[in-house]
Amino acid sequence: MTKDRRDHELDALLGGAEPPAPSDAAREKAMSAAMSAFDAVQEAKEEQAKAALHQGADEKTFADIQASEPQPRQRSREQRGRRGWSGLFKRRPGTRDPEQESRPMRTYSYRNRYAIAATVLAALATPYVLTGKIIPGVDQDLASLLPTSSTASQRPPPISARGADPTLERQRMAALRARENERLSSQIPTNSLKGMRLREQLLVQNAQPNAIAESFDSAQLNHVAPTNNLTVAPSPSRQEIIGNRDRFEAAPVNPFQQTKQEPVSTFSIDVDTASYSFVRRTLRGGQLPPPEAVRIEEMVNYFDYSYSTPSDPATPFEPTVAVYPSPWNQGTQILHVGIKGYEVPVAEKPRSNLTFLIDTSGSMTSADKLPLLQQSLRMMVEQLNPDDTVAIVAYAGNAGTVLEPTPISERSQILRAIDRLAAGGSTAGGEGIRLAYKLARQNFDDDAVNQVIIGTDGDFNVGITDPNALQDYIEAERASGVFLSVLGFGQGNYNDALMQRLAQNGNGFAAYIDTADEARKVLVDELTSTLVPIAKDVKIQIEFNPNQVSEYRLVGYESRMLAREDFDDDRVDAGEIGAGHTVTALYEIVPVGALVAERGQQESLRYADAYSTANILQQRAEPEPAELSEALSGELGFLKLRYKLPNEDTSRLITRPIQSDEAQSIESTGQDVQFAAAVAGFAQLLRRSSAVERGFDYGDVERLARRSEGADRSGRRAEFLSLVQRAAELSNQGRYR
Amino acid sequence: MADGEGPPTSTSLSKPGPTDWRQSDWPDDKLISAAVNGDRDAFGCLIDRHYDRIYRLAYGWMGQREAAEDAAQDVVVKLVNALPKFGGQSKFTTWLHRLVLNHLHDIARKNKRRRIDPGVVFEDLQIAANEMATDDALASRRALAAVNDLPEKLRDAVLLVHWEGMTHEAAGQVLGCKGGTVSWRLNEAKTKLSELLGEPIEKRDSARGKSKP
Repeated sequence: MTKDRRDHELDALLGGAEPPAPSDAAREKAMSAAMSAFDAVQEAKEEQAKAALHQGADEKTFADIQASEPQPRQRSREQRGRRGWSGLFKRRPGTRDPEQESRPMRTYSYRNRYAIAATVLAALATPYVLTGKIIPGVDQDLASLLPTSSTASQRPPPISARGADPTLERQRMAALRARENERLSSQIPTNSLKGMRLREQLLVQNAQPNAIAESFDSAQLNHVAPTNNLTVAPSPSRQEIIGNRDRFEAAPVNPFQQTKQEPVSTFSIDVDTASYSFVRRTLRGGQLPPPEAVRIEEMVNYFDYSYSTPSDPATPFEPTVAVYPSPWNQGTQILHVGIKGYEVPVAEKPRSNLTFLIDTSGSMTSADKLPLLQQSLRMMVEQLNPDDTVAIVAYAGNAGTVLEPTPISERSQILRAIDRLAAGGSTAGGEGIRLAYKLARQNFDDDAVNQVIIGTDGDFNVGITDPNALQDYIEAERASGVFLSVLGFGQGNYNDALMQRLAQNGNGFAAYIDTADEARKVLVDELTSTLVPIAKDVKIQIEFNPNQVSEYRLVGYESRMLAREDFDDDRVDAGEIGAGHTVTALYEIVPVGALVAERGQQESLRYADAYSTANILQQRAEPEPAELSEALSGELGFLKLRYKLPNEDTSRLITRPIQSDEAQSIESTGQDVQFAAAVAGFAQLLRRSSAVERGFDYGDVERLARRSEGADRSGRRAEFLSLVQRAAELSNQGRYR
Repeated sequence: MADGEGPPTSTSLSKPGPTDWRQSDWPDDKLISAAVNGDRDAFGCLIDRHYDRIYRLAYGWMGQREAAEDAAQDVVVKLVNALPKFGGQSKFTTWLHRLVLNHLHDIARKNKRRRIDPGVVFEDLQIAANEMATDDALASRRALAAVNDLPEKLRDAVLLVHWEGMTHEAAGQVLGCKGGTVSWRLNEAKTKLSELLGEPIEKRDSARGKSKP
């Protein structure tokens, strides 16, 4: 038969290439997921049948949550809408109850609410740019280089076309295009969905001129409706999750703002540091991280800085400010703002009532998962006080209590329970969560830190038909005073988005634990700060003085920008800060009169070629006259910091003027400030930010960091240096550039 | 109570249920109708029986273990709601193959032009390191990658006929086309594969699967 002949030819071509057998763990996981879905459907049928009879008194069952599913859906849609068009018409959703703390942390609205006309303009411009009419050749180039990312990423680098060395000409063209794109992008308002999409596309093209083109459409679609397709498939595939991550990461790089037009900058603090762990893991794995995985503020905030701390919990922090010349651009300055949370004395540390919900599914077997998790737990138990209590629930197929709430005074019993944990079986997190909350409530103490802490590689959602339902469940539990945190383990970090989302809605923290060192940092060194919040809804606003600062740019915090009026609005949620946590923000500012070269997105340089330098100088030397008193005119800007104490609903305000004569040389700023600058510089290089001068490289970062390494008791700064060297090596191999 | 099944206080860290199902000798259609009517075990048995097939197809299509595992899991979960829609007009496996391929196409559409997934790169690096030693493994990896580079329709045809051992007619039923179309697609696929693998078919014929370049 012809068939035989054909197969023979195929045999010859494909040889013995056969798909490997599925792993038992994956098989079991899939089986269990299917069975859970089956059960959920059956249960839903039954529930429907006896819906009238069923009165959910105290305990919400998951079926209840499923039944009430349309509600959260609608709300989250509106929430998402705020990021896009609706932000234009509506300041904030009036539907939200301001008393209720259950808003997700990242409900920010965008700062730049330009006129609707501008939005429409952007919308009109979009199709042109997207089809490559304005930037001819960009899309086509990228497309020809890499047909689809999925195929490209599935081949090991040596075979892949990805690493092909770009010619110098191509590099030059890419750089030109990148500049052009960035300039275009800075003109597109951020307050429209399409405008954002356009900006994003341009910036991504900048970031990876010869890597893979990202169609923002897919990410954006995920952003608008990230879970719509998950109703039946509770385990989102890795790609979808990566898409969800994009929701935070794909925020466009903050451009320079003209002080005259936009004198006020507002943002929420961010104490997460997961981005750093992820970058570390990627670099150690021999790859440069994808630019969008780099969140500059999370990199900077990973490190401890010894800012001054107040001794009074009522004023939980005072800002530390420094102004110095920018290490990565000629002529600009960096405004460094650091705050450190009040350190709770050990004696005052509240009691902890912790319930661990541990994923013991088959996928947790590898050494960097369950064994590392067990090690982390042991470390943590050593840190707790005798009257703290710990309970452990394991989930794999069925949930079970491994350890009833036990005081730390019976440490050996706890350690034995930790030792008994073993991976095997499949994941069905929903049941486990209910059990964990039940144990947490059993031992509930108003004055204690009551937390459920999930430890998982990300597969805990199997068994729940809708992540939104899970989120609602966690929000409801938070209202009862039990918070939720998530410890992520294992390679890929691919459920980061869901973990962050759950932890944020549970008022807890999300940490990615890749090494025992990281476990020590999160669960030992910073245990108090991670567990004990000292202030919530912390927002920072700076008003710049146009007589001193012609332009400014916030470095990082792209996903944390707030509208100017959100600052004074106590209903707008923002980041929490824990005891002893440090938060650092850097602004790059252009002093009036400074001539700054090489900055693509600076609009006033757009026609630089058409004007003589003298012209520009003249323009800049003549700021618009403003009637300011002598005292005020000497100020660079005015820093305002708003926060609420953990159990208060009214915010408090801290202010501090920043004097122009505070500017000093970078060497005299002290090691912490310099080190923060080194990390920010590194992050911007990894992000391939074109806001950084082309001459600035990993060598500069290294010199800066080496100079400011200090005593480095934790060894983290030394580790940073090794990562810088690693990145330098990798970038020389031409993998991306 | 907190638990859906099993005593809530017991640790259930051991592997879940047994794989020898009491319905294991039932034919597919009997299992399906039982499952649609709420027979949990029948559904389990059905999934158990066909999981490998689903995974194999997903792997061949995606060329990446974890992605294939995820996809296979998504498919079996999808089956819960899809099963009642199986009308019995065709063989279950035909219908199932179509369901799987549709799902894979959906995923591919979603992922089009998406950026590198660092996790995947890790795995590939690891595999590359582990397998670099043996020529055969490398060749097989190259072949898998080549299949992976085929246009979607050609890839479908190769997987169904070459790996699933289907006749052209049967593959045509899955893909909604004639057997002749499948034959044509296979021919195209072979041309593409020999280009991708860098050797003309005639030479490779004598090499019999040793695809060392």
